Amino acid sequence: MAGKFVGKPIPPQDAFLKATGTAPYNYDIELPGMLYAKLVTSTVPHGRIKRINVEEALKVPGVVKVVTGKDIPYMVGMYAGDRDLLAIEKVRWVGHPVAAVIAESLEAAERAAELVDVEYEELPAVFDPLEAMKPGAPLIHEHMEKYRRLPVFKPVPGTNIANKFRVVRGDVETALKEADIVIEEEFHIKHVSHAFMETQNVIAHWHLDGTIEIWTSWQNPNPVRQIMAESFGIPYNKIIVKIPFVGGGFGGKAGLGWEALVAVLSREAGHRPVKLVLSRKEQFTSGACREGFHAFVKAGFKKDGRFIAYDVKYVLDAGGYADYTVNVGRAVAYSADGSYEIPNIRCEAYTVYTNKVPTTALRGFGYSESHWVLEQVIERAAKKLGMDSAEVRRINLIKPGVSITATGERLREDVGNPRKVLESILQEIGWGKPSEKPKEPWKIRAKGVALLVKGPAQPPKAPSSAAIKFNEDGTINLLVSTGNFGQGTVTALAQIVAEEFGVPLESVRVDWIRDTHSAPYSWQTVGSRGLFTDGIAVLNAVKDAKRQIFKVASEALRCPEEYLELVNGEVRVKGKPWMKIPLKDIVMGYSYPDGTSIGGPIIGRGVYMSVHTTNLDPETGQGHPTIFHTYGGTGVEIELDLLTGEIKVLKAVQAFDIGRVINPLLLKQQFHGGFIMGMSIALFEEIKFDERGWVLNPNFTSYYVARIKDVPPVVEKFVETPQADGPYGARGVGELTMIGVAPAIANAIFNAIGVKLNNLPMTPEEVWKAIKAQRPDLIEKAVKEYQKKMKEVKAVA
Amino acid sequence: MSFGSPWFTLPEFTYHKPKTLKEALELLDKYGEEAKVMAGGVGLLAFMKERLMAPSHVIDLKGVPELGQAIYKEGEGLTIGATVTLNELARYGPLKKFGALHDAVRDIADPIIRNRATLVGNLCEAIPWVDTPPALIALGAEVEIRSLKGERRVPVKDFIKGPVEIDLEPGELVTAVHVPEPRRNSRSRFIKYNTGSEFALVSVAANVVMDGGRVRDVSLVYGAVSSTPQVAVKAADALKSAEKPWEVLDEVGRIASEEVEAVSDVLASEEYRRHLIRVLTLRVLREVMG
Amino acid sequence: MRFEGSFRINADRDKVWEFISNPSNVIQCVPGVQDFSVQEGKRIAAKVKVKIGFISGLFQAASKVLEEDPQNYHARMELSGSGAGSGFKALVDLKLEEADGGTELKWSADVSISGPLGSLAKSMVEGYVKKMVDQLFDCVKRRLEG
Repeated sequence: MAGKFVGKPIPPQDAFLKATGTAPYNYDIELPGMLYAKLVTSTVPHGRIKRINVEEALKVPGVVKVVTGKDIPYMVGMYAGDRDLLAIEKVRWVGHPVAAVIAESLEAAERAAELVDVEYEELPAVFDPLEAMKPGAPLIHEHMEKYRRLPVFKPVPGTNIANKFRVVRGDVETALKEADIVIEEEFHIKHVSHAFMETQNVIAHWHLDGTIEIWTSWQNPNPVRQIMAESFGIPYNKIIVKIPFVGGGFGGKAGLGWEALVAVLSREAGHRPVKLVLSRKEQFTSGACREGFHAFVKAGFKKDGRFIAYDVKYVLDAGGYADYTVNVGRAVAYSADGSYEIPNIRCEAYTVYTNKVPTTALRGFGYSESHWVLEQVIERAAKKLGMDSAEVRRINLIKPGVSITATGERLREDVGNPRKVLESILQEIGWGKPSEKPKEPWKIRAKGVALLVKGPAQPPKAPSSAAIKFNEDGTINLLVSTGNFGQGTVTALAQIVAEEFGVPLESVRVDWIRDTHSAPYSWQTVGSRGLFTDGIAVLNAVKDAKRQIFKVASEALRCPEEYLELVNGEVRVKGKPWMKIPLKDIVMGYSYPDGTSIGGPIIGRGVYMSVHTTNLDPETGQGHPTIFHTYGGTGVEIELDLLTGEIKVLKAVQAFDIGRVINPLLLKQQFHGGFIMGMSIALFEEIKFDERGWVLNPNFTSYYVARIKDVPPVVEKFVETPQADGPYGARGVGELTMIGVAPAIANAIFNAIGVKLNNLPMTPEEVWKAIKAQRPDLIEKAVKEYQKKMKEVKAVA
Repeated sequence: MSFGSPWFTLPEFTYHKPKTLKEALELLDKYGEEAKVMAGGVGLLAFMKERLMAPSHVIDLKGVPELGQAIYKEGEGLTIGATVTLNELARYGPLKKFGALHDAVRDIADPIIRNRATLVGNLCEAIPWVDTPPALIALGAEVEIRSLKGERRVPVKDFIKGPVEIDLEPGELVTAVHVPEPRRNSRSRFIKYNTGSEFALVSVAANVVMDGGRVRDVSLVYGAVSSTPQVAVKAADALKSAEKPWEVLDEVGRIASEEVEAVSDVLASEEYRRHLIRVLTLRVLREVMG
Repeated sequence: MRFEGSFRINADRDKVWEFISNPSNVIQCVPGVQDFSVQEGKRIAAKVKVKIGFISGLFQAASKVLEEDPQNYHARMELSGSGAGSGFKALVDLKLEEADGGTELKWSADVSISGPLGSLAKSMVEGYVKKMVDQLFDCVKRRLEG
């Protein structure tokens, strides 16, 4: 169905306010009588709090109160429930909040925070998750069995293992023996930051009547409310969470943030509103980042290229708390097989506490890690088999309607077309054709490809809902609680509504504030699910509103409903377009000439409920984890400077089977944005720790994020295999666009010079070290080439 | 360099904005160690925000007109006042005569910072990773220092004593940097390697005087490799003594990479730095000798 | 970072041991100490002003005795503290030996410094530690010999 709005490149609805710098972000909001909070954080990686002396701090003029963990001994969390609001009895990482100063001004709060004197008794600390897993390692959470966690997570009390998860299918041991070749490797990924522009910040007002009002820079208001209500034992409707414009989320604003802490601070400060804003350093050291990652794999292939056995152990370095990371530990395991059908698979994932900064979800979590490993395994196997890696991919690709995934899910027929994705990348990147030779002979050019698949990592029951409310003039307020932090989902939802009612796009407004009180529920805004889940809810709300509208119109036009149609914002009798009523004359009720009226204000409601998703078997991980699978891939052409180890991406291709394009402009932006983030994490980003667990680079001068000068042209390939139950056939894609970038780059290098890059990030130094270890001759040859070229230049001059 | 600060606010201080140099020197004399001067504030305010410094008095020099000038005199050289910003300097035509400094100034941080940051401030920060000191040393620049007691001049090379340590006594003010007129047949360039980093992992400034096909004189100065800029003497000698200098460039790079002090830090390891010294030496010599 | 060194003190070994095993004697010799208190078990809590180049900051520091062996004139201590956004920890080993009429004080320390001060060049911190130790033992010498 070609639409007037659906499928059109419509700019995001909030672009104007953002471009003019007038969009109200949470950071900009101030409430009357507001106080300021400042955190005091741990300076030791692991220790008992012996004493907190607040006397000097309380003497600073303007200080209202200093709160410590023993005043507010709550444990909170989304999945593992292992977070304190302020350290209770002990600290678990350098940066762990120990106390909060509340004052009339930020200056006073900061002066006083400097004067809070904390005495620790240091405990033995452990920074390496492989060490932390061993028996006898210092215990970071001694009583994890007591935490209020989601029951699907399985901590191992008496160890540092916050969650252990297994996916087992077939007989991997036998298959490895039967394999003609076995690839055995280790892969490692360092911690990275979400690097969102707006750091986490919260205003909370615990009103005297017990109502808790929260303003926060977050992805979705509902989980904040849920976790606070459950943790505090407060009715849900007493907590109102509001989210204005958000300066980026990338998974780092999912679940719960600082809202529970700041709410309690408001209560402690005499029920005045309190604001907490994290500095960039605090975001790095007290907020949560993406976990460190280790993988140990054995992969067996037959001579003909068939991938028959995959035995993987993943270890996730979760840091001081693992609240969301336990779910990363599930996603990484059930996504181990990627876009391929691997009959024998065994995958164990351990999410492990260490005395480092805590970790959480980050765009594409679990899938980024599993594909970094898997897509390189394919490339290595192809070389060992003497086959074209594209051919090995083709041989093993899943077959829609036939293939069974690692979790035992039979893929639906309209799941997508990974074959077409692969071919479109190969064609665009010119697979098989050698790259143009660089003018500088100490550089080489190469091509690499990685495929991927992803679905939303969420519990089996994760519904959404939407409401459509008409105004007197026929304009529409679309009510959803799915977040809007740069993805553009709400613009796409507005397009759908405008399309369905035949009204101008400007007639459909989604408010820029999301709140738990007036917007219909949606579980979270994560996992690339928003357009899919909320899109379906919106379509159902449209259907509901239309039903009400036709009922009134039928009476008013004295015509059965089946002969009516909605065109250009009018209800018409089919075939007699002059017999019509504009929407505005129906949506508040229809009035006859004599003043008598029928109907009433129209509110359409619609829901989405996950279909066929199940819990996964606790022993084997078998079941249906996700509501859709989006297949895609990335191809790159890179240039490697052998003198420095520097990788430059010259060209990138992004191809995804998104089912149906709702908004090609926003989709392209996701393809580009995801590529840039993926490339930045692939080539540059790493949170560095010293031997005492301190973050060495908690700032953007030594934690480098890609700049525009680093970004190559990106070609977008849309593959459209509509999914029957998707909105207009669409699937989600937001996160996926970054997942393939790193393995595609590593594969390009491996293809060209056979150098294995098993560790992220691939900084110039890391790449140089890898070349030096594996092919030192290349560096010396490059130096000679350079000298030779210089002499030539001189000779010409 | 920012290390990252948990603080949004500055420590308490008294702000002074003198209108004359004499007034500035009097304030400095009066408050001694308790005072710090501010030009662009890029380094000072970051240090204060990070609580690495907490001066009771901040003396803003931007109200002193004579400190805001860059003056080139043919045959004498270029004098750059303490409050001349990097962008003002970059736009000053005669800077092109001083190739290495021109390169360094134009590529520091970003335009917004260059609108505020000053050359003298960049130098006085004495942070190992800053760009202008290697270029200034290669060009033989001197620092002009004044106090109520008088005036003295110190070569930039000696002025930087260590990381965050400069040859400046309480009561003294760096009023300008003086870069001498480049020698005949000389050519200088500055390049840095900063892929994936805001700051250079290694930088190098080279100043070469050619004599026919040979190198009569050369200065090779490396930045960001250690706590202070490193002058490679042996490497320079090897180049000067070569009959066919184009044949020995990698040898020169190797000597430099072994000769200078290099350290590991958050940006790079010592091993990689030494390798980059070798590579950048090739690159910079290609620029200045070509 | 590991540091080590030795000092000669012209005083007899028992006298030196007696002096240095009293925390308030030692702490008063630490350069930059602004305020200190001695607690049970020879623990010391102190505020120390640290100045490296033009960087300066106030540190909250603490020391505790890990091991004290008067028979062998041997002691081990742990120093730790934080300030200027940085933290440090040092394990110090001290031993007294008789040396023709006087005492040889041998020391070593494993120091780790985190935060901004740690990310500045090592040489700078080394220089500072050396200077600080020199001043400390000069003071001890003066007090014992004078």
